[in-house]
Amino acid sequence: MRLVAQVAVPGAGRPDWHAMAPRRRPGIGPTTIGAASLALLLGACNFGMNPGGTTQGQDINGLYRLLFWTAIGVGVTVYALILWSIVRYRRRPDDDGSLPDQTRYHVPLEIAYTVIPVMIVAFLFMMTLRTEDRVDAVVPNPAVKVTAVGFRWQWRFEFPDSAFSIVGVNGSPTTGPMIELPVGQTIQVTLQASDVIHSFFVPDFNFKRDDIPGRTNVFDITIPRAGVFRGECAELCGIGHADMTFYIRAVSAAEFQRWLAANQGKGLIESASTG
Amino acid sequence: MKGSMWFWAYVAAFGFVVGGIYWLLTYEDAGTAMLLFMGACGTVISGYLFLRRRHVRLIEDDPDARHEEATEEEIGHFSSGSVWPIFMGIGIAIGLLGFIFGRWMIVFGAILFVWATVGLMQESRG
Amino acid sequence: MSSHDGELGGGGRLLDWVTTTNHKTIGQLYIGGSLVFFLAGGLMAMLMRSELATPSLSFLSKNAYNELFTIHGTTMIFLFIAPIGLGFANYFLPLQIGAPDMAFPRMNALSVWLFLLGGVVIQSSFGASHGAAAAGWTAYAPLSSKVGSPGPGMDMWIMGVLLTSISSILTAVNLTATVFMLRAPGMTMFRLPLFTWNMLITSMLILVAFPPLAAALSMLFIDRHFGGHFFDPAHGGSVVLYQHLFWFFGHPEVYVMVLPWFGVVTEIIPVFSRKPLFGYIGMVLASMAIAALSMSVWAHHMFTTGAVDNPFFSIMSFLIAVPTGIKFFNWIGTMWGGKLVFSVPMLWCLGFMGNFLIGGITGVMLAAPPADYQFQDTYFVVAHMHYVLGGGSLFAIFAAIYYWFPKMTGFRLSEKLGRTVFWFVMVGFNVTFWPMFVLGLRGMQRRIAYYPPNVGWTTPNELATVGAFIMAVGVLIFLTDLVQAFRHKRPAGDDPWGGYTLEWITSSPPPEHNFEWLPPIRSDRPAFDWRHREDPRVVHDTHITVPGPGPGL
Repeated sequence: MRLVAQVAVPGAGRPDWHAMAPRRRPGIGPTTIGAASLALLLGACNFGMNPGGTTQGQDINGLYRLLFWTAIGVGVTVYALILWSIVRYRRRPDDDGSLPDQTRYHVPLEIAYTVIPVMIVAFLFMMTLRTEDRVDAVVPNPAVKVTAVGFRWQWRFEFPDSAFSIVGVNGSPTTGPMIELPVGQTIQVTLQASDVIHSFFVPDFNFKRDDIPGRTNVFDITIPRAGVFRGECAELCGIGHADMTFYIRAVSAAEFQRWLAANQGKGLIESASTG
Repeated sequence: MKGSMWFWAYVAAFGFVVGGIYWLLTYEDAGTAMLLFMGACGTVISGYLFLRRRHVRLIEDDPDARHEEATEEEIGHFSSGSVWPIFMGIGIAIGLLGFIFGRWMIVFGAILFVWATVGLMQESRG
Repeated sequence: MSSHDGELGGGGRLLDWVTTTNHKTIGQLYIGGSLVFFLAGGLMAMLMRSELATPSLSFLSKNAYNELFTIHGTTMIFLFIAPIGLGFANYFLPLQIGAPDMAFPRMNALSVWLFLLGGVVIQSSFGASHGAAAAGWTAYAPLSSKVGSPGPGMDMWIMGVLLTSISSILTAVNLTATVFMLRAPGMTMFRLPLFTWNMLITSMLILVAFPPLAAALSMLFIDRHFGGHFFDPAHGGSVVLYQHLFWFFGHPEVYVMVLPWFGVVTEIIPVFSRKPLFGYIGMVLASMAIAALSMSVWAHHMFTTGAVDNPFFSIMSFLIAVPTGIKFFNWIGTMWGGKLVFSVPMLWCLGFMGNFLIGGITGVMLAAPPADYQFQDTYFVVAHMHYVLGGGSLFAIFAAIYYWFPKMTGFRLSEKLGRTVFWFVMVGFNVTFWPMFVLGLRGMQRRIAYYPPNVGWTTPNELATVGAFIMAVGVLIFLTDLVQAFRHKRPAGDDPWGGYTLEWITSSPPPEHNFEWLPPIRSDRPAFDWRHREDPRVVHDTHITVPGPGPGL
């Protein structure tokens, strides 16, 4: 077993870097502040993902940030090793043509970079499981129930307890039906009865679930803050795939009750509104 | 020879073990079936090689083998060209396209394929 | 592409090509055919990127766009990346093991004709009534059913893919038999070049993965034309079943598209570092682990269906990162302490490493189902897959071309043009696909030709289109490099790079049955050992044996 190759340094008389380096005073200096600021900044970063319009979405955002932090760590390490190799071990113009040390293996190192990634991956998986259990959980008695049915090429939202449905007509990337949902309550969405596979996707919620013929999918969302959220179809369903836009407007519980009452018993309501 | 037997034995073991774990975790039919079939395929190949293990000795598994030792063996027949493969291919293609464009094409493709296969076999014997 | 060397004599040149059973000619047919399909698929991509530069539909019809992305994906996967790997394997695997040809030369010829015929069927489906298939390269039921996809375009797609599938299966049989049975004396399993090992493992994946695809497509065809209801829930069938069958094939397929190129990169980096491969056995075991794990991750493409056990597939998908990481560290370990030479093949390998790292890391992110709930079916996935297949495999394909072109033709490509191609493609590729991660995070879904103008998707799309044109320029320069090589015919010699494996012993191009003579084979670097047989630093009697169930493999 041989250790990683030692590369001989030609020539004599290396400069004394230690003596030449500027003296540093101990304590909090610009480097520490800089590093701490960077850490705070990165810690607050969402790295591009939506902060999450639902509690489940916020959970997902947290997991994503953990994954991204790990990605930065791994990426920086590997890129540094590659760049170091390219710079340090390139063939010099004055090369004498001799062979470098022909190292073939280093068992402890190889074991290390097998075991450590397994540990990292196991940790990521544990954190993933916890988030997934929370995000996928459905309660037996949600405050609000709505059924969403995808069809070519729009959505129909059914509120069975209030005997009405809103169906989108003439959808486009910017126009589609709008439904209202209450803030702060558990909303249970049921997906069923589509013609081909569609997918109920609200980017602001960091969430989608497929609407599959012959299958019923159920998920819960809780929206902490009011807002308008755009939804779309995320499974190719034909030429109108981009037209299946819809909007969710999260409002106070009282406003939601007013909206339900206004639509109560009206059966099928066609809606082409809102951009 | 032993190398190929063990290679397919590992494939078989993987199919059965992972298929078993997958079934117990999910009770899902399609994935379990495919994994178990993978195990079965590996078993067929490695089992055959196991049964024939005494009949084949490969010189290339000897790390010290020298080229001179191999000159007696006939390792295979390497033809310098054959007209049959392209006709077999065209026959298969026409046959499959016949399912789309007309049943008569299936017949034509099948005849072409069989004729070319017979030609190939005769070439082997000749 | 030359066949003037010791090839079949007499008759017309066309007859020679059509009746060939020589693995080198067949390899060239694969490589040439794949490159033509690559250009076709690339043209389709340029049309799509031109359409997507503006939010509203500009010059394509909705159906035309859907046909384009379907056939683009099908072409790049079934007609380019996979077959060009089989083409290089056809040409070089027998050379690397010291064999005169593949085990079954005539079946080998059948394979290449089936590939070319399948490709022609798929490309000509654009001319079918109702157009080509437009259900994506994945062809999910029920969109791909008779109701969702009327017209023969979908059927031609099915038959074309079946033809290429039969071709791949036959080649896998051939490669497996060749590796096990036709090695030259002294070429034990653990002295095989890594490219050969990876092709053997790729063949095993093909053998296990393609039958479920054939089953899925046959069942789809029966549903479409023979009154079947396999995927029809109204009559007791299951839509999700199609996805299980398809992805049990589909995931190993992506490793079929990557393992050969891992092998190529593993050949090139040691040569241009002037060192042996670091961690040979680890590399072999890592390839086997990747292949094994790839059979148990398929439903990570189905996390959002709610129909599969997400945790099982999640942990398996996370685990695949480990052997891939081992490969990266071994490549770095090979370069470490070496004397790196940055010839064009090495540049492509370094680009490969840089890009594939991003693709691999984002793959780990996708392995987490909750994160996938956001990413699935968005441009995040499109970016990930193009980083591994484009930034990864495509770069390694260029590396293979620049490395092995001298051996296949006897001529040299231009280092200067090659460098230019590399930089255009490297920059263009990253400008095209990095913005797509942003698009995915902002919620842009896949497979749409037009999108809302006010949600922040326009600028990344414009950037991506600019990048695509930069890449296209790189590809055009590459074509000119090919043309000038054949025109100027500058001789390359037997061994322009100082290669390690047996193909560099023989002439460029090799004679019909490959070798006039063979050196002793006592390590994984027989050509290197032969050229350095006087050098006391080089150990000649290297046994790499494995403690295992038998007396070495």
